[in-house]
Amino acid sequence: MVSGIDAAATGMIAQQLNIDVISNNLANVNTAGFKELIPVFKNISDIDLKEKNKDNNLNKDKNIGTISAGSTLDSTILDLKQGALKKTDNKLDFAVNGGGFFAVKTPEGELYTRDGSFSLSNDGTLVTKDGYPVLGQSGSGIKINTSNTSIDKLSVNEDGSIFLDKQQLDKLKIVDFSKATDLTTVGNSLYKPVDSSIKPTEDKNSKVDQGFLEGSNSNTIETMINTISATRTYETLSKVLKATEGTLEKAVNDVGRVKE
Amino acid sequence: MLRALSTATTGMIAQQINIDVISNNIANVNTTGYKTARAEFQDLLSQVIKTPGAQIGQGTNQPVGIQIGLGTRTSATVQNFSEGSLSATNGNLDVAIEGDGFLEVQKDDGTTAYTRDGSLKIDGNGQLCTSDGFIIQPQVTIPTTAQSITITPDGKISVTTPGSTTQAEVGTLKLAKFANPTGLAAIGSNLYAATSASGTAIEGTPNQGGFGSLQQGFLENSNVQVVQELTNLISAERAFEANSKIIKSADQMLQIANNLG
Repeated sequence: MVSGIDAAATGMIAQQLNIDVISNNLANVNTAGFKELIPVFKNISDIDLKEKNKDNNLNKDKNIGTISAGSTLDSTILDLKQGALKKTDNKLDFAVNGGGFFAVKTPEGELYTRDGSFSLSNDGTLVTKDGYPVLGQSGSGIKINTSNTSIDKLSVNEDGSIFLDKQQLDKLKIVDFSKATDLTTVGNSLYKPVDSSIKPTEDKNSKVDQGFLEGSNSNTIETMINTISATRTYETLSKVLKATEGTLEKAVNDVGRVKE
Repeated sequence: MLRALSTATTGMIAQQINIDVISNNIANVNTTGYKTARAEFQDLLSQVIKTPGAQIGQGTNQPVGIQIGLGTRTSATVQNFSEGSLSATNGNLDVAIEGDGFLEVQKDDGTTAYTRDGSLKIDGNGQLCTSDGFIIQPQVTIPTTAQSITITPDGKISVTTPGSTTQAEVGTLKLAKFANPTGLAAIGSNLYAATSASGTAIEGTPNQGGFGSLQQGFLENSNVQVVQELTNLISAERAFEANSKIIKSADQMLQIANNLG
């Protein structure tokens, strides 16, 4: 068969996956602390093209170049670049400025998030919007007892130390991973290490901003351009597929025709 | 089938809810004691097509995988309980709460609700009530002969009656607060109801132990920032539009695929 038809088909499938990935980035353009997934493509291993040696000796075939069998989605890479900080003036909104993550306690163990839109549970524990306790440096949840004071007296330093009425309660556990590929998304704005052997380290460089939320780092303009490019590439490949089909049709119906 | 179609649909639905919330904020810009709400979003689970960290050969691990997110969802609408500005009304039954706390009222169905709207009225029985006629708890009865009413920052209500030069105390306003006020359910008419998320009400005296003080002759404006809401509206509308473009692109791609045959 003509290899072009398969190559074009793999390209079209890859572009479908491309638009699947970028549509998610766009759907989350207003999700606090969202990090983009970037699709990365690779070509399917090249096939050597050889010119047959006239003596029919395979070992002496002349190499005349390579041909690719198409393209495929190789991986999706988490882009951890900082999103814009948005002022909310809410005492329980926090943004991490830097590479760090908040640690939260979930039924699946310790997970990490950049979404700092926290609230208090009915017993005063600092929790995420899913009700998971936010961890302090001691590794346990943080209790903020406002029964004798006001939540307006809550202040959090740049290093994550939490003060209520000038009394230090705890310090937010902010952790860092050595590289973005150490993390995988689990949904609900949470991340986990790809491997249980990967342990995050305490982050001393990131700053915590109280009264701010980190916006999504998804770039609308870039995504729109990628959408156009994906659609057009898909269209082009469909033309390639049709042209190849035309060649095949000729080969099957015209070349082999028996003249009457 | 393309995931992009349903992913972009979740994006459009999320932005619709966002606009619904923003429009309610703008509609209540002049509502006494109204608290701005905000829609919050989370990403949906990501489909793992290739697991990162999987072993692909002896001693070699897949450094990165393929994950395709499936869109977004509204995780919460959160009320911002920051204080609105106070405006002077000179009404002697207008009370603004400066700081934390809610006035407790009993609704006509007997249930308890909480409000920051201190535009109090007197009903036919002389009892203090809200504009909807819900009785303020604990009940305070103002004598029909009362000439002037004074409410102190710590909630004491005194009146002067004809023939008397001194003020007589007729009752006290109490406040209630919650461990998690954002967990309160907004039930309309400027009222909130306690839920299991908010915790039970902690009652106390105004101007003491973290409770706000009462300011007679003032009302609390809404804490809606119109400029903020309008920028949020623009951003939500454009995000809606961008997601619709994805649906168009996905549709176009499906059409191209259909034309292959």
